[in-house]
Amino acid sequence: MRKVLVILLVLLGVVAIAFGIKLGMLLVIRGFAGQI
Amino acid sequence: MPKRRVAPYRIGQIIGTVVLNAYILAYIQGKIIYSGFLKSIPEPVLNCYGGPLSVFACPLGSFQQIFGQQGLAFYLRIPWVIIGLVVIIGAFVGRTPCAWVCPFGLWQDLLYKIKVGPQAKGKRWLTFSVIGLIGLVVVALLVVFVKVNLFKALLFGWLPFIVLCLFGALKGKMNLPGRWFLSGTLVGIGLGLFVGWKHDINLGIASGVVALTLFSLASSKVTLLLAVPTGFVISLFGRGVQLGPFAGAELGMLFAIFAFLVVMVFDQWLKISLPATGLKYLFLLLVAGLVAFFTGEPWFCKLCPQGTLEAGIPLVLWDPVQGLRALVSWLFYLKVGILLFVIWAAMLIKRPFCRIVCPIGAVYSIFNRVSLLRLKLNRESCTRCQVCRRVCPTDIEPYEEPNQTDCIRCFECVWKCPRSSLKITLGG
Repeated sequence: MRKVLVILLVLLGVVAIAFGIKLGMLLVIRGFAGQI
Repeated sequence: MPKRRVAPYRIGQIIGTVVLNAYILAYIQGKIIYSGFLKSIPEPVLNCYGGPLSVFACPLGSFQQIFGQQGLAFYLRIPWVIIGLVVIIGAFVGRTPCAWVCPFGLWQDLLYKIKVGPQAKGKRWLTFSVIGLIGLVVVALLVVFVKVNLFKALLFGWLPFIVLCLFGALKGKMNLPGRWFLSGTLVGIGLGLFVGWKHDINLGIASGVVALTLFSLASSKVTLLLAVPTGFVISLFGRGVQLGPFAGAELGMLFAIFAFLVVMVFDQWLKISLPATGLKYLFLLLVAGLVAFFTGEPWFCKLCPQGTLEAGIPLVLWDPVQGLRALVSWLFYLKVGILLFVIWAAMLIKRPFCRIVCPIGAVYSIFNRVSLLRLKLNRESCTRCQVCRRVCPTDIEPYEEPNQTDCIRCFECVWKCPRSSLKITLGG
């Protein structure tokens, strides 16, 4: 049962990453992140 | 004398820290921050992407950057790549990156090794003196490079830190505060809203986050003792706003009544409190989530002690573009204060930031109970000797439940168990 859940979660993760990349969400971070 | 063994996860932490912060070209080539292709790849742990040495993108910082983009359709504001990455890692290994990769975990583990308190005997005063001297060196650096007022740096920075360290030297190592009081959270949020309304929204968010953290972990007496006078001071200064017929000191009176009622209702009447380790979910939802969504600013990053250590302080001291120091404002001093507080807490308590604050740890911890890589306890052979708890970097009790949310899968309990009652399994 746990292995099935893990497989489902991994599939979900892969789909989310693929969708994100398709949307062009692999943005290059260039800021100071509000550190100053 | 038995040979001391370096914990395997420590080697992983050191490698992780070096790999994630390997951009030494910043110093050689005079560049401020690396912004090549690798900066688009999220790393699995908290490591500031604004640091001059950082190579990859901090998942939490990137999450807030994407989530905070204004004027886009909602589905475009969801950080799909980061969510997917964290889900995959969590499903396979749970909180393992917190132990084996995270640089801030390494700093906290090392700080906890500092001997303080009565158990350290004479050494505690030597340690106390060394910390005091290091503090003076930091003050000197700030005075020379950032032109901070020496008197203010000593009075508001060095002195409170030394008083906290003196408390640590007398009291020694401690357990994490056990409970999270909802009354403190509400009073803290109320204080933040009050500051935002009377003064400035940025000051309101910053003070609200600090206040809700302190009040959520303190007793109701401490909350009232700190919140009520602060509310009065806030009400006397700032913008001359009115609430119906009330203004000035009357608003302070109203805040005092609000704080008192909240404490009475939630603490005395309803008696609502939760485990303190649950506070990190609030940071995830409120600070990294809602605040970032509505303000468009990465407010967790702005207050993050890891960011101050790896990015804020190095950038201000180094100042490669000869202009960063001019940007230093009250927020920078607040961040340094938060970092000092976390350093102090980490000397006395095992990994306080990971257990109470870290939103990335909060997400991974949800997967701990279902992850493929997990621990298995043989309850028949376990004698509850507590060796596992003593070696655990997050101070959990594996003999109660080995896969609880704060287990960071360092496996020290497995390797140190005298009866081999704990085992590493894959899906078992």
